[in-house]
Amino acid sequence: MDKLKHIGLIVGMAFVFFIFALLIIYVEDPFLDSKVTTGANILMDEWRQLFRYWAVFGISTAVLAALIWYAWGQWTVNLNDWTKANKKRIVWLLFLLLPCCAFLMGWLLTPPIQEGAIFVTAFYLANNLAVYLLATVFFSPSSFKYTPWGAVTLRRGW
Amino acid sequence: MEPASVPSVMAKAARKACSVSPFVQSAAAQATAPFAKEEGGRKPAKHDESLTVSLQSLRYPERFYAVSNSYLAFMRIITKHISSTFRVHEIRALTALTLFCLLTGMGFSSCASKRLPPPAEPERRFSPVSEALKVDLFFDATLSMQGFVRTPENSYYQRMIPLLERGVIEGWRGGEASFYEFGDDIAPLPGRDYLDAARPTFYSNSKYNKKTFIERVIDRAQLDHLTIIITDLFQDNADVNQLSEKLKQKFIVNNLAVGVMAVRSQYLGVVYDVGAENYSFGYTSKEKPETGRPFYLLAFGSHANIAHYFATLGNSGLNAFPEKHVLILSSFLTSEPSPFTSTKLKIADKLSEISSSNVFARNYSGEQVKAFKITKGQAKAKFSTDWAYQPLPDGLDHSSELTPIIQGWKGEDTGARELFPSENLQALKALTITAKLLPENAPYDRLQVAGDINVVNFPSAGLYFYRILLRPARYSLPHWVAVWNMGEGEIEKWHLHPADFDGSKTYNLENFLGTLQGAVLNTTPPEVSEIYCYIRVDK
Repeated sequence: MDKLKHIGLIVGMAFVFFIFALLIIYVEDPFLDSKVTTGANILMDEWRQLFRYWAVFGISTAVLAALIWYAWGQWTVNLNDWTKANKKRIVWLLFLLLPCCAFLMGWLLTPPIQEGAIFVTAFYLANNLAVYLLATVFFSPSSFKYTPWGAVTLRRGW
Repeated sequence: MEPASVPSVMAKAARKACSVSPFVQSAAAQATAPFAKEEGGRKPAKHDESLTVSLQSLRYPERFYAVSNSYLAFMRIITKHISSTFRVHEIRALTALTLFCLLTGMGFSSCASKRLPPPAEPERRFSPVSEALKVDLFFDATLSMQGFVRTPENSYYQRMIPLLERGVIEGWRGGEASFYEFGDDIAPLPGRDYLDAARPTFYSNSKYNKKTFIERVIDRAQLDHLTIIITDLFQDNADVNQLSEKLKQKFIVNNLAVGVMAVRSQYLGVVYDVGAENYSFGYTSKEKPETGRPFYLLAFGSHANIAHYFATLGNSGLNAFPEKHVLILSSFLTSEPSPFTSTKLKIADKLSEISSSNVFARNYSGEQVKAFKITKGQAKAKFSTDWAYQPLPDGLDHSSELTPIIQGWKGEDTGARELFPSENLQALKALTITAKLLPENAPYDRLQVAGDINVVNFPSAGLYFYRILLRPARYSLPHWVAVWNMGEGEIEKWHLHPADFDGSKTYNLENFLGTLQGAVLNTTPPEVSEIYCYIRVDK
């Protein structure tokens, strides 16, 4: 049971990653194509490829952070009483630094553009935070399932 | 409703499978094994005792049936597990998110715009130097030419004669040279007879030495050969007009070039048919090379072959001649098409450059296209770029200012797979091109192009397509032509004072070359560049 449960939760995290990868490729990228003006020195196609690269890098980092959080919570802490888990929120927030760093990397290394930069920033930030949040809210180990922000509301009664 | 416990579900699946075959029993039992432990070491179901059935005893159809049922049972278990792990609203939320992504993605994908066909191949292409070539060389055998071979020393004219065949042999692996003499008539010079052109007797044949009928040579010239005429080019006004017209009809309209190599050589003799009154003047060149009398190699053929022949002659020894000029009149100013596609933009304001594959319905391998995208809400946009420009040597002299000739089309959706380019005058108002060559004076080495786009002038959103021809605003003959030209006014003075006659000039040279240049510019106007802009506009 334990094995299947772990696999199920980890597959769930992968599912969140997959959904956001689809979102990046089929929604955000075409949307930016209609909003962004690149200016000189780079083709729009090359810029979009870089955006996709850094966006996927960002959500990969976010899901990796969620996986590390899962592994830490499940196999390192060995906490039996979930009511004590809230003290570990600081750790959850520390893991949140990883997607934040990935956001900064993407934001700094994506070539500058003339117009539409606000959307790019918003997408990078939203993708990374949402993947980490959704992956940890829905798929945290049992003892820490209420630790992520919003989990109490979303997982109330379960 | 309380979700069913996973172990009990798996046990049910196992019991169902039990009624099918012992193999399925085994599979279901294995599937329930991990859960049995979780349920506090509950006793395994009693049917587990009958799991010692040999798989070998199963026949193939039965085994297939058993495996299918086992798989279905397993999938049911997984589904139940998910439904027991997550609450209904969580599953709904994730499903909704997935569906949103897929549907929006499909929506965007289906919005892929139709595209235009790529530009047609250029009508005129600079043909390279031929692999093998037949060269026909015609010597002017009139009396005026005799003075080039009567000098005490070996004149430049005489030194040039053996180089003519050498130039053909060295210039083309399969080069064949044929020699002729012409004047009143044309006759072949078999074998090495052409070397007689270096002796005065060659010009004494009264059958050929009266009148220079270059037009007869032109009539006889073959378009796939390189034709060379060696002459002093003394033509009256009527001759010039007739000759220019013939050259235009025979060579220029067929996209061929006319080359002129002008050389000043030592001279001792009489110059006949000078001016409208056909005066004759005795002339002896001095030691200074600029006092030499000009003779010309007129060449008719492809630009590349003419340039190659002149270059080979130059390397064979003609470059050592002090007074020598070359001019090639053709519809080409450069041999290479502009590398517009691969050139980086210097300025791109309020627009993005996109790969041309985004606007072409078919493959295109040329380098003359740039594609742009202008997003919604822009009023003006602009771009500028420049690239290395390599003019052909000895071509037409022209200004650095260029005149753009622009044609504009809009891609119209006619229901076909690709957009139909429909000429659009309104679209022409949206694009202004300015172009010039750098530096300000020749030799030019860069071409600068800038475009101003007034988005408001586009009739509607869509894909637009522009063909831009960049032609020099002004042309001129090289400076040496005016210096080497003999004016009508001077001839009357020399008639009164024959000792002052300046034989270092050619009567009607400027008129002849000017008329030829005009014929080239009117018939096949040369271009510095031909480029295409595709602009996708969101409005």
